[in-house]
Amino acid sequence: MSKAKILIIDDDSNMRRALNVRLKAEGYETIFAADGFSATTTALKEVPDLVLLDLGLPAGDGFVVMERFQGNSKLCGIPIIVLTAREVQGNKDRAIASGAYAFFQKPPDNERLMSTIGRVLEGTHLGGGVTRT
Amino acid sequence: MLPRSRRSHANKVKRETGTERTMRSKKGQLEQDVKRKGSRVCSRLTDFEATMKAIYCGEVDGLAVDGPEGRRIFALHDPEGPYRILAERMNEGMATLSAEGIILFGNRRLGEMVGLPADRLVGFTFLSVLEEKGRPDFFELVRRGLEEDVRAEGCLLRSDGVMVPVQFSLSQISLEGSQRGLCLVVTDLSNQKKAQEELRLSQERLSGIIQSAMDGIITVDEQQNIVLFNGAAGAMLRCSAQEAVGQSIECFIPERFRAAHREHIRNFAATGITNREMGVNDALWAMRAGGEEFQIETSISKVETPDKRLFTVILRDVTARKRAEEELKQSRERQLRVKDELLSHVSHELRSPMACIHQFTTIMLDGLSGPLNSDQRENLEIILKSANQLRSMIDDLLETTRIQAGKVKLERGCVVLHDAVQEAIEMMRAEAGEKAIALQHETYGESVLVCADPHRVLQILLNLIGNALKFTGTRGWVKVKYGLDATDPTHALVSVQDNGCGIKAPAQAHVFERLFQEEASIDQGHQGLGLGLAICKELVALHRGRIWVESEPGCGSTFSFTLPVYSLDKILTPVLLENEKAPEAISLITIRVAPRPDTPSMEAWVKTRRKFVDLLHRCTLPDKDVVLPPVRRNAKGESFVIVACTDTPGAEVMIQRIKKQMKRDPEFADYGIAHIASRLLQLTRGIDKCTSKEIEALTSEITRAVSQAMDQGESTNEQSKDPDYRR
Repeated sequence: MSKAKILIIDDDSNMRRALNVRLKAEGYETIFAADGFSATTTALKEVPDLVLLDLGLPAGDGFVVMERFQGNSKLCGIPIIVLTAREVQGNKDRAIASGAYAFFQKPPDNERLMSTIGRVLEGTHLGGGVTRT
Repeated sequence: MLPRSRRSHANKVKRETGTERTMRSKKGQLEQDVKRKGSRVCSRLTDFEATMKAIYCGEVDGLAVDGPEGRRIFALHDPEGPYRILAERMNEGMATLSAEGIILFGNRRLGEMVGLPADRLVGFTFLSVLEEKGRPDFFELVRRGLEEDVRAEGCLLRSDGVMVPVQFSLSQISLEGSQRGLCLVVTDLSNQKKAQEELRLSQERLSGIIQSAMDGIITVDEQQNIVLFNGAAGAMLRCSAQEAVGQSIECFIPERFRAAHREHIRNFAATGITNREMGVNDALWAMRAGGEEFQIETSISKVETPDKRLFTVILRDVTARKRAEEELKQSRERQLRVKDELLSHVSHELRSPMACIHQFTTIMLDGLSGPLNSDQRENLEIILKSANQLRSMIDDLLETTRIQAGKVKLERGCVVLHDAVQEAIEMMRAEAGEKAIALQHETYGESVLVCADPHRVLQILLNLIGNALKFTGTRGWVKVKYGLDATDPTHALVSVQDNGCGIKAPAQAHVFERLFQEEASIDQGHQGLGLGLAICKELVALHRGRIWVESEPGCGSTFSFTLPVYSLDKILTPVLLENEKAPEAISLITIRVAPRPDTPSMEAWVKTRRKFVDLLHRCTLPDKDVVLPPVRRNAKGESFVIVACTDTPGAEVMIQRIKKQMKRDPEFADYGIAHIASRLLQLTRGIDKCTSKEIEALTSEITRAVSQAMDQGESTNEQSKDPDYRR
């Protein structure tokens, strides 16, 4: 299996660095974006296999990014896992409804996060979208 | 001495007696004659003396004398005496005036009025005792008085300079010598005038009060016509008093309310109640001259006067107040919004750096930045622990604020109490181990299902167990007991008991308060914000349960709480009623999960089952579908039911999604879906038209269908219909 490419979208450079360490340790390839606008452009350019998305972003928050992804034929199939400092209630349902596969609150349970990422990627490889319509 | 002839007609008349005649004799006729004459004189003197005495004593009213002109009566008492007494005693001043107005006689009272003795007035013109400007009028009055009886008001000038208001009454009389004169009666009007003035002042005062009142005051009669209309009412209704008085009050009531108003007045008039406040809670409208409507508050009272009944209406324009109330409400909402935004902002800001601490510490602990020596490991673990404490405190703080703001919604489901307790104990086992505290559980009776939010139940249990561990010494014990509440079968009872230090009696009343911490607990191991129990209390309250503590210092504490027992309609009803769109149909999706043929048993299933339920939740819409809690589990597998507000095609999509997810997830490798099918429930009408009775009937129907589906699923043998099952 080729190395999956994961796009980390977070305006916090520390978080990007921490996630990078973890994901690299799991054997994934990582790319980054720090705001809503470059999230879309980077995704279009790199076409990642999975996106880790923070909600509190400049130039269009996470929900806007999800909307853009859904609306784009190239991007709508990419699974998104939301990872945010915002509170669970309200945001989780909204994220799932917007198409996110899973919702994690920072700091995440790393084990769960990694296994979820693994499952999602496996699922994609077996074909069929995992995001709910 | 009176002449003989008169004397003899006095009251006491004496006659010559016969005895005296026989006394006449020849012998000494002269002697006898003298004697006779002498005694006659004596007796007449005696009579005379007696008569004079009588007259002197006032016993004689008059004398009748026969004289050459005939008999004449002389009155000894004044015939005008009684009248004189009357004149002197009466309370009015009285005078006799000549035709020119000169005082011929004045009574004592007149003298008092004028301030001079009455006899001193005689001879003066009456004008001299009048105030100057009244003199010409009096002159005229005298002239008229000679023709007819007249009456007029005027003013006397008293000797001390005071003006006395009086009424004159003149009538003509004849005086001696056939002269014309006047009888004048003077009545002192001072008291009357004073009373009139006081009344006037009092009326002016009252009128002033009514006019100056800030509220509108309108008095109407029984026919609703306006009798009184004060300035404030005029300003409010844009109508002057002159225009309003006489009009019906209905012209100030918007047409659509007139009938109701009439009815109200009728009822009010009939009842004995004298006051009524209207428009305080419901809106009452009045109409200004010109048609503009505005909101009012009024109160109405009844006044019974001797001649008629009046109603007083007090009117207050509440437009300004209502506006202020509205603004206050909006300002409060704004404040709440600002507070929420602040909270969310704070939450975000605090979490991010804390998450970083957590992330990097775990990265290092996981060896991802190089090997660690034991010191470094230990230090990092301390950092991590502190970071976790910090996170927990932040969570608590935000949680309690959110609960207060009413932002916490429960996602009620069926919670198997046993499972929740087990999970909580598992999660706390490590911490208990650190202090060698025995963590036990005990159940009374059968397994209980509660209707609750599973995450919250766990939160409450973790909090209580955590507290118990904090306040129990090493090698102590903490026991979690759970089961049906013996005193209340509709609730389950859970208690967390420890043999720790206990809570002092005065503190027991405050433990559930926010930020309360017992003094003894402020030491290293017991750090916290003191919010945990407050949050537990709020969460239990949201579930409509109760929470309380029993404790004895030195022996330990028992924290207990109740949760409502689960019933299917409790779960279904909110979902069925919340639907805005009326679903055409409800589908029941039954899923039976069984271990694969080569898997030994269902034991391992317990751990993965929760993940499967999560999977089901992920495939359903939380506000439209209900994943029923699993209740049938045996060695052969477990049945699940989803009540979905969708038709068959929609159910089919859901089924496919579930299957796919199951296949994809390596967690479920040992299990498979033995059976999955959907069944459509026909509804007689749309949900939004259902009454609560119909909702009840519907949930019963669903319950029955669920049971049937479960039975069907269980009867499936190893030969499954699902091809994916055999892999």
